[in-house]
Amino acid sequence: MAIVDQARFYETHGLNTVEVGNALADWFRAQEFEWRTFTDPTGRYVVQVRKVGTARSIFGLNYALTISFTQQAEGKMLVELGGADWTDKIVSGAIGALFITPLLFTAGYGAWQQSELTNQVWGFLDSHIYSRTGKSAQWSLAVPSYMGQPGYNPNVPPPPGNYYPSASYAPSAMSGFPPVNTTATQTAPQNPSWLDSRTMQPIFDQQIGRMASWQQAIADGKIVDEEIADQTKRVEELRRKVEENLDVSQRIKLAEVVVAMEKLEAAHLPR
Amino acid sequence: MSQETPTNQSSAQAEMTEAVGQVNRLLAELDGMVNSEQHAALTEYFAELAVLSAMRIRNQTQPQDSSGSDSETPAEGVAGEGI
Repeated sequence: MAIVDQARFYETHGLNTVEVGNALADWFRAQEFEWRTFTDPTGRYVVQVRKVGTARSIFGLNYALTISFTQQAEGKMLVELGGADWTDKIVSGAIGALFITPLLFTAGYGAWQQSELTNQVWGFLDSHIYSRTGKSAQWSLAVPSYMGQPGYNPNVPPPPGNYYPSASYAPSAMSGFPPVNTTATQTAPQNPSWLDSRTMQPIFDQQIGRMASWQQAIADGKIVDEEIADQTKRVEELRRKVEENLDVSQRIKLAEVVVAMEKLEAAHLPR
Repeated sequence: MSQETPTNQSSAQAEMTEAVGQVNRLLAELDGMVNSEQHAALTEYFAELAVLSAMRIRNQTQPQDSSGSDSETPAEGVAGEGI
């Protein structure tokens, strides 16, 4: 069954996930869909849309889509499509068959419309990439795998549920380029997460106020350059100790994390 | 007080969202690469790094003649919004 049936790797020619996702959300908004966007803990930018109403609910014509965007290596982007209330539509169709046969057809019609909607999403992405970059959109199918087998776990909801933490992607059958495996199954013992499951934010940020180094520095109500210099030394010393026990690939990844954190810090500073 | 246009606010929000997502994604990747001992050491490092970041933000945003009235509160926008 094809619930999260469509995923593609796009060559986006420099466009980022937020820009493309927001453009898609605007497109849905223009069609009077309800929508929301957010970034999930794995870094995927997610757009959820739906079109609901009492009459639509009765006749099984509610549409809902979840579209996630994940930045990949080499300027590529993974785009996944999933219908959020496909099951509801099937249930509605079954009830309609018990009471009024035509409802079965309206539910089926709604399902067909939803599948058409996914085609429209791909069409929008193709045209958006072209209009923004002047280059035609190139894509290849993304083939998911679960427990070493192609496909999705049918018992786990489509994104952004709990499916992907245990998933990895097989190389695309069409292009052969694999995505960066950001959700590889861990073989090591589970470490305490660095991300707060409620706020989806790094736990360190929530602990700042309780850190001795912060309390000491802020005791007089202000942060001076000397205190920053002292803390910089402390951090550099910790970095050295940490890196002594990391291999090259781990050091590279750590460097990437630190750069991303500095970028986030810069976003907080006045301009 | 300067006023940001909706476009600037939207752009800044998009930039922030992307930056948060990038940090979270990379942290998750690094988390999957390290053992428990390395994880513990990195946790301590990241905690102090977060303090350093908060200090720099506070230093840049605090009034020049701070009275110290909010001495127990990290820089606004730090906790709960990434670094």
